[in-house]
Amino acid sequence: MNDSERDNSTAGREGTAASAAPCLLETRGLTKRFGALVASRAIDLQVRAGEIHAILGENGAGKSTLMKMLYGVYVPDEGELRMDGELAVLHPPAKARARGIGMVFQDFRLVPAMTVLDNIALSSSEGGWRMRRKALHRRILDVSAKYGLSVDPEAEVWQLDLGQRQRLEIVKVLLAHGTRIIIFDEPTSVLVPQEVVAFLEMLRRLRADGYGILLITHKIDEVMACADRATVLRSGAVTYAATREEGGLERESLIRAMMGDKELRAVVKARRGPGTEGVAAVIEAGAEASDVANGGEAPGRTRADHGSAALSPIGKTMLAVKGGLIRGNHGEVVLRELELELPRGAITGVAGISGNGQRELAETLFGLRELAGGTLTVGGRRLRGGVRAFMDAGVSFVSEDPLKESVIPGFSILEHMVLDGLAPQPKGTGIDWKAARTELDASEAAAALALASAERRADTLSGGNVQRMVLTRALLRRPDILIISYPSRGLDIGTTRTIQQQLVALAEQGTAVLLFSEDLGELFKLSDRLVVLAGQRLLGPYAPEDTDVRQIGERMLKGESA
Amino acid sequence: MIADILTGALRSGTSVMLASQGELISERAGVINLGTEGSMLGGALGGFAVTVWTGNPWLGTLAGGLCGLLMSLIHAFLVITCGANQLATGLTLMFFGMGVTAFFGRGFVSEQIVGFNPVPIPLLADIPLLGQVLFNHDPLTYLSILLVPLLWLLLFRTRLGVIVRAAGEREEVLLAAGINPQLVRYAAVLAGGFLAGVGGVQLAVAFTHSWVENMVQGRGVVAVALVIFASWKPLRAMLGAYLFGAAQALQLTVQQSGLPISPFFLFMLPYLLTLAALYLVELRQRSRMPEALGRVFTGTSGG
Repeated sequence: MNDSERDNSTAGREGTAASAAPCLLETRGLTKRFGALVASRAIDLQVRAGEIHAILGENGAGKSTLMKMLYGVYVPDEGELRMDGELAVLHPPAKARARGIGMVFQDFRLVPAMTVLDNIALSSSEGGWRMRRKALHRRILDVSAKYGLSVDPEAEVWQLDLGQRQRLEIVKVLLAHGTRIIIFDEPTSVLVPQEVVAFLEMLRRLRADGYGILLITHKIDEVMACADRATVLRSGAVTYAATREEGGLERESLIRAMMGDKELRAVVKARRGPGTEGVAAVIEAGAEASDVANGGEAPGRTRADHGSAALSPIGKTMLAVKGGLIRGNHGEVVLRELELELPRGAITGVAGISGNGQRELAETLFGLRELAGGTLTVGGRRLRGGVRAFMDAGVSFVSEDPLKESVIPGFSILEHMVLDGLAPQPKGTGIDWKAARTELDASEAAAALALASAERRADTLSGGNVQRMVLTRALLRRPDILIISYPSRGLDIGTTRTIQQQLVALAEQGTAVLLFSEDLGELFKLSDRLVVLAGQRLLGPYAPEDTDVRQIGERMLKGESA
Repeated sequence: MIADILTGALRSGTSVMLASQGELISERAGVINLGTEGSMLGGALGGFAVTVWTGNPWLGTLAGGLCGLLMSLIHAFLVITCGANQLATGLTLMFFGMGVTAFFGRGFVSEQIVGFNPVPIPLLADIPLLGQVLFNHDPLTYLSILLVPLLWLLLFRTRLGVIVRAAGEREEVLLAAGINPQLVRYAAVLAGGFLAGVGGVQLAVAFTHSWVENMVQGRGVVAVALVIFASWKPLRAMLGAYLFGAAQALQLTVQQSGLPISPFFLFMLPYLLTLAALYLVELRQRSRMPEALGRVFTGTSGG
């Protein structure tokens, strides 16, 4: 604790000390091309001991290409890598590791069926084939105590939540021989707000112990909270580099460097309900970045002035579940005593740590999974049966993993649309493709979402374009009820905005939307009502005006008692 | 009679047990090898032939193990290097093993060998009942019993074991740790083939002292089934193998006693019992299969 206090109070001086600290890793003019695409362009970068260096950038800005060169996955096409002032070859990753570079990946490199200890033994080459279980056990406990990681060596990995898995990855890196530089790839994307605070605290301890830290992120609050130095990437090139010491770490310039001159339309959400008719909440571009972290500037607050503390349904209930019981794939109870109402014209946001029943709930509401108890009514009538019955009742669904679950790789966009979404016109014994094409091109949804050309095959589409296609399809059916999971997962800010605008517009036209998201900022921004999934229960609804990111985070972690 | 059945359980179960321990290594690393049957046949013939030529059953054991290993090498190459379907390749190898051993084995059908014979362990063998059941066996049986705890230690208490198991779960994790998962799988499949071959040797050189065409009679396939029903645990696979052996012994005892039961019915008894055991076990547990089992890994990228 003392460490951290000293750390916080001397954040300013820390910078001064840091520039004097030895430079562990330096890149000069690092360039990487993939065909005609320049993924990294002449990047100069320094990592110093006892310094947190944040790499900021949107999706596709070239952050991960850069990191993969530093971790030895890619060989740079041009430029040099220096460690301790000398030219170094870091490819393949084993060499980078041998030189003391460790990486904590976003998608963890873990074997779920094995214990924490086994996973760590796998990556540490010490002791050859032998495994000193007791010694390793002790070292794991030592390291995790030192940095407040609380990792249990005997736990099996599949039992751990994402935060725990991340801490295990960190222990793995710390226990590897001679680690001096640690690269974190979007570390906070899997964490709830409370965990983010603890994570940043741990980063400061690592810094105090002289590790050089590279923090890849797109969350500006984290950079503001802990970084000593920041480099901003856009389209593969460095657009901004500054240190805290120089006073260069300020929100506005970082955002400008990230976005460039790309203009972002703010998502405008009209608040309806008694007393607040027509009041619009405009979320500025800057607020985008203040997503989670530190809770001090929860986006929820930006709407506090709209009054209306009362939670009032916006329209009549379109879909309701009463006393619902949902079971998982192995017959285990996932959600019990489920009470959920989706009112007309409202977006109901679902928060929760992933794996708390999001998938099962979404599937149940689209008829993919049977309700094991209780009743489900749509428009007041009890609904039973499979997906077809739900579709006929006006429910649309965008799944959590559209690439896997809603896309046929060899089919064109148009074929996907005819399969579900557009009602095909018969022509002779076949389908009138021309009419379908015309209808698709004329549709508002396709235009608004800037859908790719109709004959593009699905397997040639980027993640963002797939998401646009799946959403367009859901919108084409003009659903009364839309169940949508993680619409902005993995997408850049521009696409995310477009999709969010569509959701808001859809709700304004009267659709009841149930929105699953792991991004609390997004939930607060879009939702008229919030519910939380935690410990087999669905909590809420809460009015976004009455609560904040911190409270919702507490409920995600601990359930209602918080 | 009970002592006879129990003794027989070990004696005739050992070949299946060795093969199932080998298959267990292979499956833990992610490769199902139905060719185990072929490896056992190869081992039985190779072991028998070398024993005939040299008169030394230990050389025979080594040769048999190598024959089994060679059979599994074909499997490993097709499945790991060429990415062929594991089940199809394994089945083909099984029938290939039957054919090739029948062809080369013609001259050995009437040969006679001394081979391995029961070696009672002094003192221990004199314990009533237990001595007869546990301590009056051929050397291969003793060794195979020692193998089981050793294999358990290897798989669950050494880094090598962690690596083998990781190969059967998440190859990309191994790759990220700088270990080539294909190499690990090769090693595991070959080790499995060797043990299956030694199992065949036990059958031909220690248990029956003869070579008969297609003498393995599905024991290799039973071994594969046992691994699954043992949830990929060495100790349970051993128990399963002895259960199969006991059923074999029971069948022989009943036949000799002259009860009016069709020998054909008795002949299917061990397999029937194994099926029943599989059913009972599956009722009680949802066994956790190695995640990458049967999956063909082709990726070479990754950190």
